[in-house]
Amino acid sequence: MTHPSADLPEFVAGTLPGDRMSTVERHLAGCARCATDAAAWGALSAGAEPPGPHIVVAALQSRPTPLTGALPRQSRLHGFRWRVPLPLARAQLRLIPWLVWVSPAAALVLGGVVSRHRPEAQSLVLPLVLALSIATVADQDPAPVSDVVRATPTSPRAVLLCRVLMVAVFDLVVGLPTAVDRGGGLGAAAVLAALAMLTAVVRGAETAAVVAVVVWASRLAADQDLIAPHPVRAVVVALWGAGPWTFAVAFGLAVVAVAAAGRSEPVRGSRATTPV
Amino acid sequence: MSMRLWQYEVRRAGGAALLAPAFAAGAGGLVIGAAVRSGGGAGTVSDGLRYILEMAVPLAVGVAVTTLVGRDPVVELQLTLPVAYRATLLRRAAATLAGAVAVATAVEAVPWLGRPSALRSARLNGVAAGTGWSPHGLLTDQLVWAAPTLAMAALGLLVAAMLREPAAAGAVVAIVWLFQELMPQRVPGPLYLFASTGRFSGDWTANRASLTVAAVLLVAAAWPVLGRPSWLLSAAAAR
Repeated sequence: MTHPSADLPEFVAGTLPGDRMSTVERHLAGCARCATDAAAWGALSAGAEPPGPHIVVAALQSRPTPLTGALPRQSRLHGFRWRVPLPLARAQLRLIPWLVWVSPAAALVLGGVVSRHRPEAQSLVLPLVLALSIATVADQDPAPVSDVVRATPTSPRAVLLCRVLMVAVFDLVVGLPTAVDRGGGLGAAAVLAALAMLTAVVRGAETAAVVAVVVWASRLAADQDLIAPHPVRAVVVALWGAGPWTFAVAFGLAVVAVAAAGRSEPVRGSRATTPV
Repeated sequence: MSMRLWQYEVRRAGGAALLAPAFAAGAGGLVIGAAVRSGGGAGTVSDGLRYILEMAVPLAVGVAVTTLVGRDPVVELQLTLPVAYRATLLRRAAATLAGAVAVATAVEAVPWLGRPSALRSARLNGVAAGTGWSPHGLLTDQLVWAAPTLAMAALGLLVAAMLREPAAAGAVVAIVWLFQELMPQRVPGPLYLFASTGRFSGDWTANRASLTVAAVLLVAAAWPVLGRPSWLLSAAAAR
């Protein structure tokens, strides 16, 4: 005896062709097992609603049930925000050129040696080295990586902050202990580094390097005996000192740099073969 | 060599390299302005201009030249060109130096444009105490800026070719400059960059000549490295 199991759902729904419908109907009259199956299909179809827009609306209005301990791996996602910086830093460490670590370290060690003879040396070397390092890592257009960075869900601002902070901490840890005037060195380093960061974001690393070096040299010139005590000199010295204004200016420049990061297209006029 | 090629290379050198000497001179001009307002006279202006020519312009050119190397992003295209990449880089360096010549000429012209009598006499008598410089003549006096500028440009080219990282190369150039400023007693006389503004007891002309020779030697040292475009360009591709 052949049971029409495959036709039962359509028989219950009433969509089976006429001749097969009567065949199944005759079979059910004499087969208790298939009659039970047909009753089960009937009970199942009675509880299901036909698809329509109201199903989508109901799904959107419903609140997802919180995940319980049955899925421990997913429940750890609550700490996800705090776990982002570490993988990001690890990834960026691989992308930052090794010279960005070695070259400043060598310069700062040399500055520390010269500081034994000229105590102000490290306070002059540290801002310059920090600014040039940050100019390198803050460049938003290191082709061809920039296209990939813009395609990832991680914000370019987060990437920028991560790279800048790593380099800044490294340079300060290496250079600051041997600086005699640590406050002044830190203030000057903050202003020059923030200026280099902003210039690198807006105009690229090369322009940032030139701007940082020239501004740094101007600061040196302002310190020479060429200028007698004067309000202009007082403003320059105060701006480069360790006062609150110095750090406020540096913070402002850094905020503008972060805000400007990721706002421009990767291909810019300054790097293009022909002006864009 | 067509003018269009030079126009192209000037554009590829970039605004940072071309305008660096002008930017440095402008910053130095602000300092001189502050000095004059603080009571400095014609001698202050004369000294300040010499500071710009011998210290600011060479530093700016040295750092600017480091930004020229390895900045061409399309490596494959560059390597297929029949022109050697070394020639391309030297053209861009020449364009940067041309910018420095223009700025230096403008700075030199200041004494004749402002208050001619006072400044001209200040220039002619502007022998700073303790320095090795004294007026030699219009052409010879161009070595006040030309010799250190050439030396710093050549140093920048060599370091950039070896390191392939503009910021690191710029740091090396700036540190050499700072070392000469802070520790002149440790610098060999023939290689001292600031013989016209710093304390220098040797022969000024010999110092300028040796700096020029040093520039030639540095370019010669960079020559083999500049002849390896794959080395110079691979860093840009990796970035």
